[in-house]
Amino acid sequence: MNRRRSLKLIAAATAVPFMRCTTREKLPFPITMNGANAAIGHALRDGMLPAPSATTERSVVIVGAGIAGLSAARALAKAGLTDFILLDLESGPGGNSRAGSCRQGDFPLGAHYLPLPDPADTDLMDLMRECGACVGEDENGIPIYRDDYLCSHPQERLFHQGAWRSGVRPRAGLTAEEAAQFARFDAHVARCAQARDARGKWVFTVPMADMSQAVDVADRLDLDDITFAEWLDREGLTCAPLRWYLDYCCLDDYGADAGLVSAFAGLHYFASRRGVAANAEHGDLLTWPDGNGFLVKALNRHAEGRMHGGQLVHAVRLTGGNVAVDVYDVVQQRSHRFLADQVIMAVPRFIAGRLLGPLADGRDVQPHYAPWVVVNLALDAYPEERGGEPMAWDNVIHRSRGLGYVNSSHQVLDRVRGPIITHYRALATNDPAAARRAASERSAEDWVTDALDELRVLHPDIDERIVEGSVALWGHGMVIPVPGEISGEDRRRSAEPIEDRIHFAHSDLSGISIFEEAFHHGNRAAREVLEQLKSG
Amino acid sequence: MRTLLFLTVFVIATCGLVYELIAGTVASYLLGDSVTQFSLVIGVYLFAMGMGSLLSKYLERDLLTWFVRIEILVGLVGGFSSTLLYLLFGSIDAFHVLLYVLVGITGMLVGVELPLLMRILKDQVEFRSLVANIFTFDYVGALLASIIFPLVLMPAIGILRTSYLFGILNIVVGLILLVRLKDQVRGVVFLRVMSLFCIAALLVAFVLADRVQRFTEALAYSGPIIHAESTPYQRIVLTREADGTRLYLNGNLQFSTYDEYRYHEALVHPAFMHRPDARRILVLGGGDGLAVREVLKHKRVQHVDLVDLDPAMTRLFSENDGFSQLNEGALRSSKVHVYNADAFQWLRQDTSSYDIVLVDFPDPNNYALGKLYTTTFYRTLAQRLDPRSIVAVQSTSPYVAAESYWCIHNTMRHEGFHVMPYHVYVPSFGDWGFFLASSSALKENMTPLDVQVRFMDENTFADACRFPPDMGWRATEVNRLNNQALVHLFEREWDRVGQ
Ligand SMILES: Cc1cc2nc3c(=O)[nH]c(=O)nc-3n(C[C@H](O)[C@H](O)[C@H](O)COP(=O)(O)OP(=O)(O)OC[C@H]3O[C@@H](n4cnc5c(N)ncnc54)[C@H](O)[C@@H]3O)c2cc1C
Repeated sequence: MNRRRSLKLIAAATAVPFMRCTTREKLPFPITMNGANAAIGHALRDGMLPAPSATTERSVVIVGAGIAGLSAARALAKAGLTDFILLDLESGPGGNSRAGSCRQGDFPLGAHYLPLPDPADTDLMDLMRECGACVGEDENGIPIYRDDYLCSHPQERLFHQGAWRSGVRPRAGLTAEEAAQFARFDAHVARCAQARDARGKWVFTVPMADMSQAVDVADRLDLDDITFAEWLDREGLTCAPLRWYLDYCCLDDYGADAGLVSAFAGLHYFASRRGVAANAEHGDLLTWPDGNGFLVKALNRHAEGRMHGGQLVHAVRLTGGNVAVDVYDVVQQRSHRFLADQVIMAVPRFIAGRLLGPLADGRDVQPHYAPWVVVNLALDAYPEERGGEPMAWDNVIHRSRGLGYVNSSHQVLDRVRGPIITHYRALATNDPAAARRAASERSAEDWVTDALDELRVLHPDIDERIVEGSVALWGHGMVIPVPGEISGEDRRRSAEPIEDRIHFAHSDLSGISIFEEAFHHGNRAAREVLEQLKSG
Repeated sequence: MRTLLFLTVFVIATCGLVYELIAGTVASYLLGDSVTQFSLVIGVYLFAMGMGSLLSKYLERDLLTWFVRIEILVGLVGGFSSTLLYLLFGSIDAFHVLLYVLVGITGMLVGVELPLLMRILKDQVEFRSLVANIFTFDYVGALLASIIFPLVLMPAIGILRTSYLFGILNIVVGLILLVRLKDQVRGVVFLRVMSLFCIAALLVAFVLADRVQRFTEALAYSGPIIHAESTPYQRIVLTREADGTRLYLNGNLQFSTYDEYRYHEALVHPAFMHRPDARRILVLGGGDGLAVREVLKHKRVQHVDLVDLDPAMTRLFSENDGFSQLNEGALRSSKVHVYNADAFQWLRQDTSSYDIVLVDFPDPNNYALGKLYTTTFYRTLAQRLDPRSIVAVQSTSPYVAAESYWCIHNTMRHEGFHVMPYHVYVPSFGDWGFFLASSSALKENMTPLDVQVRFMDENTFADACRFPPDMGWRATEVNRLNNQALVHLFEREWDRVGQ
């Protein structure tokens, strides 16, 4: 592809950053296409971007305004630093945690919730107080959360054998053996949740960095060498209801089933949560109508005026005593160079590797990523139900292709508006790259049609209820913790700073894609930078 | 053989009239105004019978076969019409059309029967006595039907089972003829299987009639419906009883004009006893305007905001002359401002403060309503109050649902309210509970009212504050958005009494 053509392509793809494609004959409501901007991303891969025409100096440049980048910005701002900027190729901040909006309200395009934080995670507790989620402590020092941020009851239901049942874990009609397997699994989890290493640190905890030698422990237990499915087989945990449930949980958290993720990751999901609240139960969670978009807004308050959207970073190099960050402005269609003292790379590993070019030096080994499709549908009223439990926050369908849907209006206290429902599907296969390619060829309509096929079974009148739709396709949605990912050398390497000038922050660095990890890496990278600025 | 055929005339005549009576009863029951409904149904039915007779001339051969077919059809349509009408009442818009179409079809089929039989019998019986006998049996059957329908069938087995029973009789008649005269009928096997199948279906329905009944809303009401309307939020039904009008929301009784004054006086006046100088009042729920009627009796009141989710409710009780009489035109008063919004959302956006807030939501029988009884709700409410403001909350029955009642109490206490429980006897509801709440302590002795009341004066209130041990305080969970403890308690307690 010659340069002119590639530039045209970028211009075409970016002129309308959130591509609006009002649909033709088939679906009678407008659909918006959101998600990661693949066209721009591809331009980066094809490497045909103009050389910078001007240069600006900045003390710190943060590349990527996802949760990790925003968290780093917040930490810098809180330390009193003002000379930093935050660059993102999307028009707004948030990355996978961004929210979309329509006339009926806001909705999540990706990340939806935060499990109750571990009170020992002081950084996260600080954010919780700052954003108004944590409103105090009870007499025992247990945090109290704002009631309408805690997921309202009922939290989840499962469509199984023609009716909705409460809870996602299958309970009805288990044989004695199946019930015993569930109990044995629970016992394993309980043991893992209590496991500490020689220095007294938890083996399974969030964020991962606090696990200290957990990785070694995992290694010793060889939990990261085999898949979760292999481990379950080995433990004789083979009954169908349990395995369906565990596959569902893995898909939900990692975008891949138990046959793909490591045993360590599989157990981590269950054994790492230490969140408590005086006014909620263990296992409860925080969620908002705009999903983790709420947290994005809270973090972004510190980056106000310093976050620049539509900025595609295409090269990061060391020059003399500085770091050169080359950025293509997708609106003005020209490149610019920032010379920075310190840089934080808050982008996924597969991108960081490309931006660094020769500097990468082993940091460009790509992990596996699960593609995700998120379909939001705004309804004019609550849809007809098929019986059983009433609509919950999370509505899961037994043995279906998708992961079911979340009622994003669950926390909205106004019954006058119809709900917005968010349908999730992980395109999990053994070959995510092929799935990504296939996905990129499908239209927004195709995705909505797929989601509707599933939803129609649950809500016969859903077609008549829809007012508006939105599709978000996340080609590299989540890093998959396949065996070897968490304990492997590549992951460790990818977080190592380069010459104390280029630092790394992203959930990918943990091998597990969740808010807490991104937040942790953002804070850690900011501390590294502040350290350097102080000493330099 | 002839006797058999004349007996047939007798049975089908009885069945025919029973269907007509059923249709008339269903129509006047569901649509009210029984004179009109009965006349219309009878008119349409007779006309359709005429059309049926006319059509019968186009049946030229295989008369007996046709007769059996018609019997099966009459049995099915007649047997299931009332079920269909009850089930679809409320879920379809063109209910009148459905009603008259069903009446028409039944009438038409019944109209074919007699001419057919006469033609079947014409070669066996002399014409003079044929006509005489047929009509005799026809009228006797009709007499029998009109006597046993109201006196025996309705009281003993109810309208659904009556329909099924006569559906079965119709088909049995056809089946007997089929068996006895099989050489004159074509397709015997098919018709026999069909008959047996339809009889079986009707029998199943007969046995399961109670379950069907549970699905049919209209049968839940004891009196005829005078207004029914489905809104996006609820189903509003008003019925007329001997002792007055009743309002049901989603099948739950909201008031009966016969004793609603007790409920509404109890909700409204105790708050005024504690805050006689109240000027600004907020009423949450209560779109029927009955609480506002009581509020407006207090002449110092200057401003009333009423927030009800459902515009259909407030419209009905302000614009409809008949129903707005019940609240003495309260919703049309210039002091009253009606807002159709979710109370929760409205409270969050509102910035004013109130002297008295009357919380009159339906009972917490689902999660959407349960939210209006949570810590978060009361906390939001508290922001609209000053230290002297008084809140009155309707709080279900402390007798039937003691834990639910005290759960509301404990939830308000948890949010720092001073709470004063009281309960009164409302015959339509039973023993009914309320709370007064305020952010400062509530005084024991209160100001006597200067308004006319029939029930709630200072002495009644003093009694209302006493609770016997079986309704006394108990510890419960606090009702929060993330546990909906109240809905669970409420369901359990009311299920126990089979409501
Ligand atoms: C469908 C889905 C559902 C999820 N649900 C949850 C959930 O409920 N709870 C939860 O905790 N986690 C969830 N996650 C995980 C979520 O990814 C993390 O919570 C978090 O958002 C990760 O943040 P991050 O900063 O590490 O990465 P990202 O969100 O990937 O941020 C990277 C940022 O870098 C930008 N960028 C990339 N390349 C460039 C470039 N060349 N130049 C400039 N900018 C660039 C991107 O636009 C993006 O904004 C979900 C993920 C997906 C895909």
